[in-house]
Amino acid sequence: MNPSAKGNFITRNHPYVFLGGSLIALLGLSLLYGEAHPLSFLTGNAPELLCRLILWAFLALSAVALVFKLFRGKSYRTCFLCREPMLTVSRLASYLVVLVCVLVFADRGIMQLIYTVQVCMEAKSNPQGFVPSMIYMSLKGKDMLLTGIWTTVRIALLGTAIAFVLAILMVFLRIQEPDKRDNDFVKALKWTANRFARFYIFVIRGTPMMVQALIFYYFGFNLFKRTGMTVTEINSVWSFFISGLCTVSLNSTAYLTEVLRGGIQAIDRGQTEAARSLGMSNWQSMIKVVFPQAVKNSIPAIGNEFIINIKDSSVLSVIGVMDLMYATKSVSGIYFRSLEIYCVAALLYLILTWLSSLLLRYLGKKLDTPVKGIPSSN
Amino acid sequence: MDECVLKIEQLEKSFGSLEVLKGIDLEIHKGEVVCIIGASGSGKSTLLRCINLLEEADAGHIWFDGQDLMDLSVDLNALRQKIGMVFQSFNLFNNKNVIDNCTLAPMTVRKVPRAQAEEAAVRNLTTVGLKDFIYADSTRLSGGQKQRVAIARALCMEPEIMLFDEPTSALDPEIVGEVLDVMKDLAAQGMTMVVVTHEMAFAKEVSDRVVFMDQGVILEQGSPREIFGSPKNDRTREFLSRYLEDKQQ
Repeated sequence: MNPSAKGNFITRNHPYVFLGGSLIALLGLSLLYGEAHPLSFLTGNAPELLCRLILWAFLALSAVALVFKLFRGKSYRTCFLCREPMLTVSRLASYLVVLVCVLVFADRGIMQLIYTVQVCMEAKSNPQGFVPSMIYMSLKGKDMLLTGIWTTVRIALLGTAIAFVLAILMVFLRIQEPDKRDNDFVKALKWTANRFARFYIFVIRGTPMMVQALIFYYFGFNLFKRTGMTVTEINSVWSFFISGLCTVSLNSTAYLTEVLRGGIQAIDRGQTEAARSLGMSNWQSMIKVVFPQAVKNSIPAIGNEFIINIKDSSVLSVIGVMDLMYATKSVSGIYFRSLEIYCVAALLYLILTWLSSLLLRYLGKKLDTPVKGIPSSN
Repeated sequence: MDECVLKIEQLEKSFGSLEVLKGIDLEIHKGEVVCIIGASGSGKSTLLRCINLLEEADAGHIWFDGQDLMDLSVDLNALRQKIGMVFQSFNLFNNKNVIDNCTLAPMTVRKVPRAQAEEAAVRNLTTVGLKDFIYADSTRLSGGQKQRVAIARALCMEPEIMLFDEPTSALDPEIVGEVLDVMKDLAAQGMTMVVVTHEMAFAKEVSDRVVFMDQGVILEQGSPREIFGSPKNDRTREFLSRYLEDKQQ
């Protein structure tokens, strides 16, 4: 076989036709011998039988090739199977197998799913099968799950945005270092700011967010209670959502502060030195030169934090935030099935994080393009 | 020529247990071009960085503009405005284009209006031969262009003295010339310059005074003719002869 043979993968003869083809044929056969369903178009003897025949025939051919390979060893390459016209014939046969398998998949896979959904929509009770039950509960609990998704997305998005703003403030506290030339008051101020930020990060990163959520919720609750508000009033002000959002924001602040600090440290010292040598103050060179570059470099990590928040906000369900996790628990409670609906939840979280990472990658590419056409007053 | 712009007295600096500067005395006069030469690790760059306090010296005095920079109560930012600095690694602001690199400091530090700052920037960029690059992205220039922008950026603050820290060491031999030409023009215009360099030809041709440093002390200083023609110190002779040998290879 000449590796540099002309043509692409489709028009070229290539090795492992029998191996790959027979694996696909086996998959197709396993679907084909499964139970047929009312929506199936590959029914009746003729089409179904024909499909089976083709797949079995290819498997038989592959078996012959295997026997040849086993018994002839190295000289296999010179036998009739490895010469024209058999090469082309086996290649075309493998395409036929692929075509048949695609048909089988459309029939027994996709049409089966559509049928199951149809059945589940009309079902009066939770069906027995695993997939039907997943579909049934997702359909019945659709509103709850959608509200949950919306809450999760809102918390992750708002939480990361608020945390980003707070982290910008916090990182300025974190990077304060007393300078020889400061007066004592400024020195003390800088020292306090630095220690405060370090302590905050130490505590937040060292405790689970679930515990933080509980402490935060009850702390707020007790605080409002002291002012003499009733429970109903408190719930309207310090709602689960608000306290959950605060938890995520304050939690992410600690992580994003470290992200930004890393970004600042990664900027070449020469940038600050150049700014300082031109007479700019420490603050000016930070704001005008170092920080814009640090934020730009930190964008991927900030996006990461957003994705982490989508997942980690699930712990907020302990304080009753009606996010996706809470909705899942509720649906599970109503229909008395757990494994199925948690698999649905996992799938939904996966879709959310996957879509977010696609979006972030797209945004990242957009932001990287250099800005052109700066206006001039000349 | 006799007015003293910068006066360094007994400057000492150590990094941990390593003594880099062991009592440096140096005077720079107005309009003078002083080249500091010496082997790597002799303390040349540290001396230059101590002058505008990018490194804080441990002891000594730096008299500039009637004030001692080593005095902790001095307004460092105000004095640094008058001391331009050009770095070996250019250090252009990566988040700014060429003209914004030049206007940033005048606008933020001296509160010059944008129009006026841009006018000055264009003038200085024209001087260094980069009139066509004023809106270029600073990260996309060649090394020689970057260094010329860096010089223009320093000039925009209208400094009284310019410090050059091995300005051509990061450039390939073919484009060293374009930077040195700009520096020669600057010297011809009467700018006071302190240049740490390995470009002996430049030191010979342009400088009024050559300072030879070795192991943290100034071993010898004098006119280029004295230093390159008849060095008195053995170490100076050794350094220069070795250098010239390298040149001939």
